[in-house]
Amino acid sequence: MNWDSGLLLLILATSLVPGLVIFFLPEERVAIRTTLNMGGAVVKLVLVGVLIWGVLHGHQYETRLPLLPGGLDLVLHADAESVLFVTLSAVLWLVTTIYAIGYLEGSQHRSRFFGFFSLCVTATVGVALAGNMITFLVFYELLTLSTYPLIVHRGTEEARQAGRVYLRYTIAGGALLLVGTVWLYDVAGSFEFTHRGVVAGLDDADRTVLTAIFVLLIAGLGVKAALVPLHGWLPRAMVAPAPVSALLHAVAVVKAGAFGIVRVVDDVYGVEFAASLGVTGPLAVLAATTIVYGSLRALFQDNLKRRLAYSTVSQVSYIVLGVAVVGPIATVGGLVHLVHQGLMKITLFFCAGNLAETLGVHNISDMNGIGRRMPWTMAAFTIAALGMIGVPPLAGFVSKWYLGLGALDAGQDWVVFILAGSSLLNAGYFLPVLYATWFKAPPDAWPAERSYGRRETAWALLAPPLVTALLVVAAGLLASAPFSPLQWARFITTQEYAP
Amino acid sequence: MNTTLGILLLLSVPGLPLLLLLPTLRARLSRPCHLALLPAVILLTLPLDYSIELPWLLFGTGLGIDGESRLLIAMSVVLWIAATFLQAPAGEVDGCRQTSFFLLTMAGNLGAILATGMVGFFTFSTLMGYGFYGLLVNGGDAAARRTGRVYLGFLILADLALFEALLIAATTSRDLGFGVVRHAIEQSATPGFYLSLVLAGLALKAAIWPLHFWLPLAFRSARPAVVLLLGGVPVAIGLLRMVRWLPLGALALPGVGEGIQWVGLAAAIYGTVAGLRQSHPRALLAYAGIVVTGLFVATLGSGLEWPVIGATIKETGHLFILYLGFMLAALVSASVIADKVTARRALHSLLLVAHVAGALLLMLAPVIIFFLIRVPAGSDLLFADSGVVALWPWWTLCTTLLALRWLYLLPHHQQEAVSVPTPVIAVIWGVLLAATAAIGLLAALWCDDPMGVVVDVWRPVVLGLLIGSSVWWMAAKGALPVIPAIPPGDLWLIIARWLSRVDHWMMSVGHQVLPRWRAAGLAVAGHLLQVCKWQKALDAGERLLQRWSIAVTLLLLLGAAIVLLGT
Repeated sequence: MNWDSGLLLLILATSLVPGLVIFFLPEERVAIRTTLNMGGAVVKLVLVGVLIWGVLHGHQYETRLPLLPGGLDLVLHADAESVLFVTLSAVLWLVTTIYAIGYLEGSQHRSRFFGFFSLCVTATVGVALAGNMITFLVFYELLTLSTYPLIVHRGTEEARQAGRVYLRYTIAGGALLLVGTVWLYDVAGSFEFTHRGVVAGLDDADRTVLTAIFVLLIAGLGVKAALVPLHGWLPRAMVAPAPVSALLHAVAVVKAGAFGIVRVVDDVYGVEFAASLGVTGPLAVLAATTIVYGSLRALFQDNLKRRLAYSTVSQVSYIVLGVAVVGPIATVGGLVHLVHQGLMKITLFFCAGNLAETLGVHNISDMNGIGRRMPWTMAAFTIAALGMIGVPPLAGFVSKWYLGLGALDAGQDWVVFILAGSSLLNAGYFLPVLYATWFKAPPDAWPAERSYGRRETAWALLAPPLVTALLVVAAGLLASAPFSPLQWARFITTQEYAP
Repeated sequence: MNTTLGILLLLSVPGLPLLLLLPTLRARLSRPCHLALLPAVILLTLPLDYSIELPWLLFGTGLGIDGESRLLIAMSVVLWIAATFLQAPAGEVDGCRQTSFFLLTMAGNLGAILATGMVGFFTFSTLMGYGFYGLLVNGGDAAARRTGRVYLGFLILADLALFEALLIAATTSRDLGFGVVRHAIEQSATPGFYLSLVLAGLALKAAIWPLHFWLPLAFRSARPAVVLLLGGVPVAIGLLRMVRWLPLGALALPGVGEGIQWVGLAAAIYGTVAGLRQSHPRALLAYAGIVVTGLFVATLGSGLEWPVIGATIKETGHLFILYLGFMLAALVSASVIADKVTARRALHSLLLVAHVAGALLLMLAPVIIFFLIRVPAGSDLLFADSGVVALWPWWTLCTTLLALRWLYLLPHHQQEAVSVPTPVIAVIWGVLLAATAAIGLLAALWCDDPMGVVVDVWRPVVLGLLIGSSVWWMAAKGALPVIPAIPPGDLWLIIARWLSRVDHWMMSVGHQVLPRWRAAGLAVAGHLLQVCKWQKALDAGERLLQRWSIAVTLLLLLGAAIVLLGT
C-alpha cells in the first residue's frame, strides 16, 4: 500500500482509533481523553490539507478493500466533491470537539460520548470518501448506529423516545437504500460513482425500473436529509446535548443525506440522464415543498432548538434543490450551500447551547435582552441568523444568489419565488429573535445562571461560535477568493459538466 | 496615487466604521463616530478620481471616487458629524448600542456611495438599512418600535425585489456594473416585470409615494439625531440608486416614463394635502420631502420618456440629492434649536430670519431641479411639451404652502429635550443652511437661464403666499373650520387596522371551520383531538408525520405515483 492509497485510510483512522481508545478510558482520565480528541481532530485536519493539495495537483487517491466475493469492494476515493465534504467535516469536527469538551465538563459518561462522537465523524468521513454505493451504504448505516447513542446520551425518557423515533426512521431509510442499491447493481452491474453516472450508459434499461430505483435511493437518503415527509425524527432529536445537535444538523447526519442525494444525481444517474428520465422535476418540487414547510413550522416554535431544527429541515433542501434544478450554476449554489449552511447552522446551535448552559434559557420567549448578558454569543448568533436570511455579504447570500441565478439560467423561474418566499419566512422566524435579544429589557433573573467571572461564558463554549461566525462572514465576503467554498464548488461543477 | 495606498484608503472608508463596531476597539476612544469618518475626510482632500477593483470581494466588486461621489461623501460627512453631536444616549448600554448602529449605518452609507457595481451598492445599502433600523428602534418608545416594524418590513420587501431584479440582470450580463440595467431591459424576456421590480424596490427604500409610510412615522418618532439623517442617508441613497440604476439617457421608455410622471404628480398632491394637516413640524417635513422627491421622480420619468432629459439628469441628479439631504437636515435642526432659544428674546429676530431662510429653501426646491435640467442647445424638446413635468412651476405652490405651514408650527409644538449646547446646534444649523444655499447657487450657476426659471415660478409662489397668509389670518381669528389632522403614517394606519381584522377573521376560520374538516377526515383514524387554531392543526399534522410508517408510506406512494406518471 502506498501513500496515495493509504492517505484515505489514515484520515479515517485519525478519528476511529482515538474513538476506540476513548471507549476504554476511565471517566477521570480527562487529560488523555482531551488529548486524544484534540490530537485526532488536528491530525485529521492536517491530512485533509494534504489531500486537498494532492487533488488540486492531480493526484489520484483511491483505496480498495475486498468486501464481498464477486468483485464487491469497499472503495474509498477522493474527488473534488468528496474533498469538499471531508474538509467541512474535518474543520467543524475540530470546533465541535472543543465545544463538546467545554459543554460536557463535569458531566457523566464522557468517555462513552466521545467514543461514539469519534465514530460518528469516522462514519461521516467514510460517507464523504465513499467511491461506490455499497461503501456509501456501509458508512451511512454506521452513521446511524454511532449517532443513536449520542441522541439518547442524557438517558431521560424523552431522549430514549427520540432515539427510538430516530432509529425507526433511519433504519427504514437504510432498508430502502439497501433495496435500491441492490436493485441498481442488478440493473447496472456496477456500484461505482462515475463521471456522468453509471446508469447513463444503459441504453436498453427499462426507464420505469430506473425511476423506481431512483425513488428508493432518494427515499432512503431523504430520511437523513430530512425531506418532508421524512423529517419527523429531526425536531425530536433536539433533546440531545448541543454538541450533538450541532453535529447532526451541520456536519454529519443531514449533510450525509444531502450529500448522498448529490452523489446519486451526479455520479450514479448523471445530471443529464436524470433530467431526461424526468425525476429531477419531482425532486425539485419535493425540495421546494420541504423548504417552505420547514420554514412555516419554524415560525411557530418557541423552543429555540426546535426552531433551528425546522430551519435545518428547510435549509438542507436548498442543497437538494440546487442539484435538482439541472444546470451548472444551480449546482454550484447547492454545493456551496452544503458548506455555508453547515457553518451558519453550527454557529446557531453553539449559541443555543451557550444560552442553555450559561443561563438555562431554552425558549425564545425567555430571550428578552439576552444580548446584554451574552453579547459575544448573540453577536455570533446575529451573524449566522442574518446569513440564513440571505443578507449580503454573508455566506447565505452567496448560496441564494447562485441558486436563484441557476434557476433563471435553467428556465426554472418558479424556484426564484420559492427562494424569495423562503427568505421572507426566514426573516419572519429569525428577526423577532434578534429584536428580543437586543432591544427588549432583560428579566430580573435568568432561569439558571452560572457565573464565569468576568467572562460571559466558558472560553471553550465562546470561542467555537465566534470562529464559525467569522467563517460565515469570510465565506461570503471572500467568496471569489482562491480556495473559498464557492471556488471549490465551481471547480466541482466545471468537472461535472465538462464534455 | 500609489496603488496600495489607494486600496487602503478606499477600503478604510467603509472599513474603519465596521472595525470600530468592536466595543473593545473603541472603548478608549472619546469620539469613535468622528474618528470613523477620518478616511472619508482624507479622501475628500485628495483631488484625484480613483477606483479599485476587488475581484476577491464577494462576486468581484469595486470602490471608486469621482466628482459626483466626492460631493455625496462630503454631504455624508457633514450630516454624520452633525448627527453625532446631536446624539444623546439615555444610558451607557443604550449609548454603546447606539454607537454601534451609527457605525454600521455609516459604513453602509459611505460604501454605497463609493460602490462602482450593482452588487456592491446593494450590499452596502442593505447594511445601511439594517443599521438604520437599529437607530430607529434603539431606546425608543412604542411609536419608535412601530416605525421600526414598518421600516423593516419595507426594507425586506425592497431587498427581495431588488435581489430578484439583480438576478434577472445577471442572467443577461455577467458584468454587474451600473450599465447592466439598460442591457437587462433590452435583453430580458420580461422587461416590464424587471423594471417593475426595480421601481418597486427603489420606491420602498427611498419612501417614494405611495410606498412612503415609514418616512412620516420615522420623522415623528425617531430621535433628532436620527431624523437629521433621514433625508441624507436612506432617502438620498434610494434616489441615488434610482439615478444610477435606471437607463436614463440610454433608452426611451415612453409608457413607463409617463406613468412615473403621474406618480410623481400624485405624490406632490398627496404630500401637500397630508403635510398641511400635520400638527408637528417634523411630520410636516416628512411630507415636504415626499412632495419634493415626487417632483424628482416625475423628472426621472420625463428622463425615461425623453433620453435627452435623462442624460442631463444622469449628470446632475446628484446635486439635487445633495440639496434635498442638506435642506431636510437644516430644517430638522431648526426645529431642535427653536425651543432652546425661545427664552432668549434677543435672539428671536435672528431666529426668525434663519427660519425664514430655511422656509425659502424648501419653497424653492422645485426651482433647483429645473436649474439642473438643461436641455442641450439645438434640441427641439421644449418644456412645454415634456408631459406632466411641464406643470413644474406649480410644484412651487405646494412647497410654498408647506413652508408657510412649517413656519406656523415651529413656535407651537412641544420640543424633545436635547442635551447638546445651544451654540453647537446653532453651528450645525448654520452649516447645513449654508451648504443647502451653496448647492442651490451651484445649481443656478449650472443653468443657462436661471432668471428665466425663477420668473416662471413667481405666479405660483405669490398664489401660495396669498393662500397661506389668508389661512394664517383666519386661523388667528378663529374663523378657520376644523379639519381633522392626518396622523403621520396616514394610509398605513388604515392598512394596519384592516390587516389585523383579516388576521382576526383567519383565526376565527381556523377556530370554527378547520376542526370540522379535521374531525371528519381524521375521525376515521379515531385518535385526533379537536384543536382550535392553525398552529395546533399544523402540530397535529406534524405528530402524524412523526410516525415513521406513515411518513415512509406516504413517500413511497408519492414515488409510485412519479414512476407511474413517468411511464
